[in-house]
Amino acid sequence: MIFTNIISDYFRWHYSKAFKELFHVWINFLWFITHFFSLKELLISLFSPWRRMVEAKQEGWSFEGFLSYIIINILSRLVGFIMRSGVIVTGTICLLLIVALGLTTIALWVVLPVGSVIATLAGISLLASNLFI
Amino acid sequence: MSTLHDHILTFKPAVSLERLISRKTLHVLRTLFFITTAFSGFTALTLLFFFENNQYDLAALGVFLLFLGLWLEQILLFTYHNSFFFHGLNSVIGLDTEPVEGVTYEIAKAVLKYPEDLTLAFCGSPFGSTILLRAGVPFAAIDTFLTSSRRKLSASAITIEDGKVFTFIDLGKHLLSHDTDFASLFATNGVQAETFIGSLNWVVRTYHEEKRSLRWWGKDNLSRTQGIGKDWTYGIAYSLKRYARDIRTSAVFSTLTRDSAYAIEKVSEIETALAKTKASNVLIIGEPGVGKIDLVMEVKRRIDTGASLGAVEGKQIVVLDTNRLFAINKDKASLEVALLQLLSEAYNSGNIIIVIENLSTVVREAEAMGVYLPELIDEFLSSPLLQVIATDTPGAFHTYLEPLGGFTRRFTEVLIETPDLSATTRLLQGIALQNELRYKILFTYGSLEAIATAADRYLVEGVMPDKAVTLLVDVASAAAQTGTDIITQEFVYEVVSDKTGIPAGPIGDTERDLLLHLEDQLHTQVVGQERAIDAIARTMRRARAGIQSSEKPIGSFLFLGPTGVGKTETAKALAKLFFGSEGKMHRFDMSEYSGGGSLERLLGTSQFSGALPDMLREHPYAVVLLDEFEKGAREVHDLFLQILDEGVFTDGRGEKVNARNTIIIATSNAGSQLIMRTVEQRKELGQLTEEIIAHIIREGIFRPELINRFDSTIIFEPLTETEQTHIARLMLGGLYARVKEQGYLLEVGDDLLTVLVEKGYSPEFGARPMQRVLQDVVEEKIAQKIISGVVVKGQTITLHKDDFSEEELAV
Repeated sequence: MIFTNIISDYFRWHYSKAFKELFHVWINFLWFITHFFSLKELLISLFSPWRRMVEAKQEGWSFEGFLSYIIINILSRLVGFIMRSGVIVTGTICLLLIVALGLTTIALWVVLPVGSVIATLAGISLLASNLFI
Repeated sequence: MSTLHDHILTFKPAVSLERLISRKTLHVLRTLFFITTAFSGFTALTLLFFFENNQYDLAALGVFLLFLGLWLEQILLFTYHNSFFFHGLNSVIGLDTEPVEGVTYEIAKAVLKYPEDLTLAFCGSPFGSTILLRAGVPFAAIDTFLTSSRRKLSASAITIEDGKVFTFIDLGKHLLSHDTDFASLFATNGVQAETFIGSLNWVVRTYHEEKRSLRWWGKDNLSRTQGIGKDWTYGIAYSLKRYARDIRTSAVFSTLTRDSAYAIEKVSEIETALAKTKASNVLIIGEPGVGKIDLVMEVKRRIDTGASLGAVEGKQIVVLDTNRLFAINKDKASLEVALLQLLSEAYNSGNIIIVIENLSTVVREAEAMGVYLPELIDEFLSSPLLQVIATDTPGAFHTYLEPLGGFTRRFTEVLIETPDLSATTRLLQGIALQNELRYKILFTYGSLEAIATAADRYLVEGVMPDKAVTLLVDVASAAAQTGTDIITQEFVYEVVSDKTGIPAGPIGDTERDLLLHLEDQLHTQVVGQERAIDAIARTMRRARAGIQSSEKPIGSFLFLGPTGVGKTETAKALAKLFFGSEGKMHRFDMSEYSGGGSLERLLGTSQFSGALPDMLREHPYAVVLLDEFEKGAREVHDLFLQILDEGVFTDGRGEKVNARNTIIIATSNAGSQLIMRTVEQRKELGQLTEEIIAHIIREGIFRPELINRFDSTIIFEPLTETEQTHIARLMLGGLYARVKEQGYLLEVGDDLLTVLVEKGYSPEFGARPMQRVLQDVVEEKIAQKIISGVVVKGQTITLHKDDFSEEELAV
């Protein structure tokens, strides 16, 4: 009796409330990836100098000073861009993976109870036919 | 609205599942199945692809499929159970934005067992028994209570409001208010309802926190990981890093627990100040040990986990190691260069918040080296690119920083008050749990309340909650040494008494005896003064019974009466009885504090320490005798108005001094003439006291508010002749002992005693002349006899009136 109750309640949960809960966890993971890879902050500052490493403007104008200011500035921004875009790309890949994983899990969820039982039974039958014959 | 019974039914299958297979077993099985699946999968693949025509490949595939299926089933079951196990948790810990209703899993588990007897469900659950044990109810009492005939409450009788989650805390409170038998269980075991509720909150909240940490997929847990690349927009302050220190080295880890609304309010105050566009610096003012840096740590945690205000996001908090700064830069020039360099780099970084602890000390140390810090850093303080969080104590802030005016205005002041006793008790809960694991002991909730109260009342050194935390650790190690498993209130007070040497907490047998017979005890040293001693004993009993406020000295008395009638002797007797020795009486001659500058000498200044704070710091548990109190300056009297009222005062350095563990006795001869006159007229003492107080006020000797601050004004009457004789006998007792030490025996005849009393009696000076008469007459005679060799060692020196000439007696 207890066993039947558990099984019937399980299936009721599996095909109703569980979807909502899975969705919540999925959203949490998506949020985590954007937070961990600082996607928002890095996109905003994509072309900013790397670690504020820029040449300070010198008083008075000289071609040499101007050139060094421009070069260092461009270099610093370039390094910053490369580093940031590296993280952004990695983060986006992870984000896409989580999206795919979430969709797969939700899709698989529908067949998982039956699937797991089939896997168990298939395993037993394979074992029985190959070990004891 | 539905009933508790309706809600628990939805949990029935999940609870049944746990009864069949525990969560722990499910967890172990899941891990085992996963390992087997992975191993067999790998084996099957290897056999299939690398060993052709192998007879075991399909068997390995079979093992893989079998365990894969079992593993998936375990995951499904565990996820199913989790859904019920964590139901309502977010709502209970205040994380849910969506309304959730129902009951927690623990409630369902307990009540499903006994749905018709909620009290049994509560007490019979592991939670309930832990709660009751922590509340201080013995197991035997719970068993007796449960087997007795009592009213039973059903789960159908409780309705649960919409949008609310019913927890164990709600069940406990419901039982307390609806089950009178349950409520009386506490009363009969000497446990207060508040203690039960405190213990209820403690146990349940701790469990919810544990549960929260298990749910790693929650946003709150995921957000604890610090992201990468957040500070790439900002520069690096290399020089500052050289002088930076880990913030955890300053934290006390004790204050303001996570659920403290006060901490949340203060952290938000700090964040708001940091988010300001201009002069966004913060000065946290609070007593040492109150947890100022803990608040900064909380701000840091919020920044790191992205929970802070937008304007503070991405900021980096760095604690400046000022000791290192001053140690490395020993002269003005190098200090200035180092400071400017590190500040400029931090400024250029754009996201640095520098933490400077004890700002006033740093300013003064720099000043001593010729660097005027306020001017040097003013430019940086006014910019939003560099922010400073400074800390200081209230006293130092008022004394040193406030006068700097403009500099202080660069900071937003955040005042941290010392937490009250209930907040301290809450904070002790976490620390108690750590010590329980370490020493294998158990703290009752009452013991935590006792630790908070005793630390506040009896421990003079340090501030709350720091000293409460120290006391808790002391109590834990004392318990481990004595083999005590369960720490009760009584045990805490025993430890406190051992530490301080004064009786604390519930009154023990010896002390009960002392208090009940205090009059007799005082009379062994003080002759006569029946009414005065009665009044003192009554006041002391009131004080010790805890009826009096704990935020005042133990007792305070104004002794009025002529000289030599036993005022000082009474003070000495009180010191001996309450603090163990007459040496615990510390005398202040108030005639020394009558002129200008008296208050400075008594309280000290920033340059030198004061006599009163010095004495109280060295001897916090003592009798303070203020001799000739009427001679003290008016400002000194005003100081005592505060001390008598609050038991604490601030010394010349701005530090708080505790006088709550003292008995303060002020003596005065004011109104002595009136006392003598009224005694001669044989008036009633009650009337006499009123007359004398009225006279003192009329004469402007003491102001009425000062007299009213004392617990009692005690009138010492002039001594009668019989009392004088008694005193003479007491004094002779001392002389007998001294003579005996020299190897002789002494006997003084009654006829001589009468003469001595006659000579030593003075209505004006009381018993004071008696000592001189004894010296001049008796001691002189003994000396003569010893020196002249009339008596030899072992012989008795007998003295009568006839042994003296008229001249010898004419002293």
